[in-house]
Amino acid sequence: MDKQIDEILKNAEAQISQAKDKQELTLTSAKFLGKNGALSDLMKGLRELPNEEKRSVGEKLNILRDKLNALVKEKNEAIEEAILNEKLANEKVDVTIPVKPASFGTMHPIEILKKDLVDYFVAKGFELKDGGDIETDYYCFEALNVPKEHPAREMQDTFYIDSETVLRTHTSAMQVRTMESQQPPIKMISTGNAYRIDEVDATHSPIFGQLEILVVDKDVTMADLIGTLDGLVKHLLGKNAGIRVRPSYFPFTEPSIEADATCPKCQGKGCSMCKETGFIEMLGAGMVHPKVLEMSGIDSTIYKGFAAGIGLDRLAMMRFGVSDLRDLYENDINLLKQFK
Amino acid sequence: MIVTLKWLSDFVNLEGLGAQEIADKFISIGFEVEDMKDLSKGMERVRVGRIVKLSKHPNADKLQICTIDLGGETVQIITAATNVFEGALVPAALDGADLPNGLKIKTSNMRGEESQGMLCSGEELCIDDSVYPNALVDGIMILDESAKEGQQIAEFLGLDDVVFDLKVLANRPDYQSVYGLARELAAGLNREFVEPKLDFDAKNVKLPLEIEVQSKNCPLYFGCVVENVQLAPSPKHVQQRLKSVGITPRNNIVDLTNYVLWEMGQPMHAFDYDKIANHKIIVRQASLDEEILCLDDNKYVLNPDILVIADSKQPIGLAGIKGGKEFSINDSTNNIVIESAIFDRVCIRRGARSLGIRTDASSRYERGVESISAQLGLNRILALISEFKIGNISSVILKLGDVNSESREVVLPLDDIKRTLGIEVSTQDVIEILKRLDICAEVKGENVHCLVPAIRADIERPADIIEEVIRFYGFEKIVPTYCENTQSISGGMNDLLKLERNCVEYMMTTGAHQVRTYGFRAPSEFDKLLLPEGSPLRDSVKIENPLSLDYSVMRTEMIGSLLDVVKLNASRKNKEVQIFEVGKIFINNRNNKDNLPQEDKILAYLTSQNVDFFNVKAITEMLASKFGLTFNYKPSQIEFMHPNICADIVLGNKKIGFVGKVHPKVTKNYEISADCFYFEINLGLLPPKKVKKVKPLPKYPSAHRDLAVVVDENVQVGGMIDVIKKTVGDILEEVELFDIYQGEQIEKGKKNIAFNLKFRKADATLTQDEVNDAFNKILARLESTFQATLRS
Repeated sequence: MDKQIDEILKNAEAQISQAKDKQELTLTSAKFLGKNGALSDLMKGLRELPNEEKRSVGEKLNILRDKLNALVKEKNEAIEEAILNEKLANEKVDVTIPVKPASFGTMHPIEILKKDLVDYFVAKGFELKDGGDIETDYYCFEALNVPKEHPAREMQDTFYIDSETVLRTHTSAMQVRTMESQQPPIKMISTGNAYRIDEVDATHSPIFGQLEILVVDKDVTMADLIGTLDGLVKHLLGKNAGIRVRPSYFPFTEPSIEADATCPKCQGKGCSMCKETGFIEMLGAGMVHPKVLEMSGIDSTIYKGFAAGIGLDRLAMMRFGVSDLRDLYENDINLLKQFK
Repeated sequence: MIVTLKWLSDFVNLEGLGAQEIADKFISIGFEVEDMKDLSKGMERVRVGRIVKLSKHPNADKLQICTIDLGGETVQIITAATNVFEGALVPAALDGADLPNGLKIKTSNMRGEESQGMLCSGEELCIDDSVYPNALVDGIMILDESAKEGQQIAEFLGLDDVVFDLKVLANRPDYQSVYGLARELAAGLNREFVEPKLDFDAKNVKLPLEIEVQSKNCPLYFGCVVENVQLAPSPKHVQQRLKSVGITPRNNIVDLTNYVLWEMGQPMHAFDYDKIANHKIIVRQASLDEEILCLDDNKYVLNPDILVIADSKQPIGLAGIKGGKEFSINDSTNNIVIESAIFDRVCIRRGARSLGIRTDASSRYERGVESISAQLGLNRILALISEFKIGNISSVILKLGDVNSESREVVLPLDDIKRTLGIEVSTQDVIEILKRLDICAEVKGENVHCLVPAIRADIERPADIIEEVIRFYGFEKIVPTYCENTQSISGGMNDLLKLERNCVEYMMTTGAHQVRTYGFRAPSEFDKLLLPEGSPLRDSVKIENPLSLDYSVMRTEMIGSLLDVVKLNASRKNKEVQIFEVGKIFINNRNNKDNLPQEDKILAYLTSQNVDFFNVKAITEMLASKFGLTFNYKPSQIEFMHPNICADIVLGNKKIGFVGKVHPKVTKNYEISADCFYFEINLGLLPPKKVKKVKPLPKYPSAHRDLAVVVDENVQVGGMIDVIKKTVGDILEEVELFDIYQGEQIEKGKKNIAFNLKFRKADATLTQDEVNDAFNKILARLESTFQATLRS
């Protein structure tokens, strides 16, 4: 019997190792481990053995079966390994081939700036308001203390839809709409398009983006306005930047100011961009005119307010180093792509 | 407003101040200095010299050696000019001069003789005959005997001055004068302001004059006769100042009207007294089609909106705009009438506009001239006429209307200064600053009572006074604060604005680039978009005064703007572009309280990349899923879209947009050769995104079945999915299309559609029978609705 077992094991070792693929291995393993295989034959013979031998032979056969199974398993793994290796060997790519990358789109530069400013002010607790591009004469002018025939109307050449309807010349039109709809405290910003009769050239566009800022409360002062604008300029141009305030005139603010920012190109030293002054014009602002508060239904003896309007187009040009405003409205994809 | 340093010096002592310091002071009190020009630039080292000796150069035939007396000092200069002579006064540029024409002068040796400079021609000094007679003579400029040896040439020529161009604020008509600007400057510098000479000698002139004002547009009119005028060129400094500010000198009378206009901001006019019929001046509105020939040699046809100065026969001038030619001052004029008047701002503006003229006078009236200014202007011109002894001024001055010279009281609560500015300004400082501005201020209790001179019509309220205080106190003294004392509000942004932002973020993930286009469009766009007559999209909001026809209507659709962007890019060989914009369209539907057109915010997307309908629909579906919405798609006919490849995007039962291929004719109209796909969604029609509560994970397993049916090729899959969903209730969790097949194994004209159906019950495991039952119901419904047959 021992001899037989040794022989089977020997044959199995020889034959299983010869199997070329899984199919052959299945057939070969059936010869030894199958229903009619060699092991099965010996098992059947077990019944005829005397009881005292049955046990020891049985044990030997179990060991044989384990050994055969191990042989098959080992071979199976070897074959699978070979298959995988072959597959891997065939799966070759030239990793150096250049590809056209899947890419994100981009935001328009003026919109990037707008979003940046909105985020800045919203984080400071301001509410963003939206208004119409087409506005009544009342909200665009009259309610801002610019009655008809007021010389200040000539400061802003206006596109008219009809005698009472205009393309808003500034986002300041949103000041009165906001104040009419709510009592203070008001902390509002509004962004959008403004329109003025200007031929398209390197620094002018008849349509341009603006940001409006309005704060109305009991204790709001010119110092708060200057601090707010100073903070904004530092946010945009860096912590060493600052503002210079000059007196100015707008019919809807009193006192009115213009704020110049430290020239971002020369840091205030003087260069061609700032015409050697070290400053660039940035925005107009002021304390909301008491007449404007009153016309909007706010008691000017209790409340004060400040307002500011900032043109976004030239700021975007400055920020992104664009020298011709037309480039921002042309939408050449090769320019847009750069604003990742 | 152009003003010169010397002219300002008439009113305020500017000693010790450089031009730049003066410019800086102007900036700090609210004037933008747009330009600053030193007229003497380049003439610093050029002085008047007298040729005391002239001799031939020993080594050069064409050169002469001049010994020049510079007033005590003598230099030797060699010249090649032939027009010099002994005794002549000439401009001598000395060693180190850097002439206006760029020439640099150094002492040099010319053929063995030293030349310590150069004698100058007018050309080398960049001046012409308007600055000095015969300046452009061939050779050296020979100066008249009023020049003094050693004098700076700029001083002799009247060019020792600096011209400032200041931007004048719209609320300060009083700044349109040297007088007004000098007063501000004096206040800014805290130096004394010197009033101009306003008194004159009057005579008993016997020439009668009558004035009648018939129009309410002339609240004040002064007329004064000057007899026996001696017309001549104006004094040199008057001429030079007029030239510096851009006015050509003519004769002493005309020059003085211009001089006073510029100096006092009051438009003045002089008429030839003897030409005025019946010596009567009538101020009235023009009658229709009345004509006048003006000083500019143009004949103007008038209308009743225009105010005229007339005699009893005809208009003799356009009030506040321009004088009539026939009545102007000329060589034969003996007697004149000086006019100083106030005309209505609006009337002058309308009149000047309707005639298409704008003059120094009209622009001042348009901004507004205070009545006190008419009195000052008249007195000033008469004082100058008297000073220059031009004629006999009548002691009778006709005055129609009133001069408002009364000061106005404005009461400023003291605490209002701190409440407005955020800093304390001492009462003493407040009063001192106001005093500089001629505002008399007095503290009474908690208030400052301010008496504001009539000419400062811009000061009406406490806020105006506070502005004056801080303007001169200095904005730099304000310590910035950051709204620490304001109350908090909720802040943030509304749903539509959030949605707009989110859209931009989502769209960027598709690789599309955001563009920014004008809302102005050309009316011809409607044709390019194949819109039929009567299409609602043709009903656009029109601009009354557009820049051009191409920018004359507000857009009613977004696609044209985006097609133009693709067109521009295509023309630059950027063939494949993928762009989007969140922009506004304007609908001529004024159903709101302000009677304004409706403005809709549209997300629009256009691609000229090589894609198909389904690639683009995948983007709208991505948006739907980001918004947590279900979009449905209904075949749609839109003029500018492909007739068979376009669907309305429907939410609930509302159309919110559309998606499809752009009509090839339209792309061709925009000169684009590539196929374009487009979609737009009206963001205002999307519901706000809600915060959703989590759905618990399913407790029981799902069951899956594949269903493949053959239907006619025209059957729409969307319709089949709708039917499947409606047939069995909640137990159908998902229907997924996984294959559409047309080909050999399928009958011609038919297609095979395969769905994966996913069933689940929330409260129990589905039985095999329940799933079979549902499956069979769905199949039966597809059979009856679409004549579908099960594909085995």
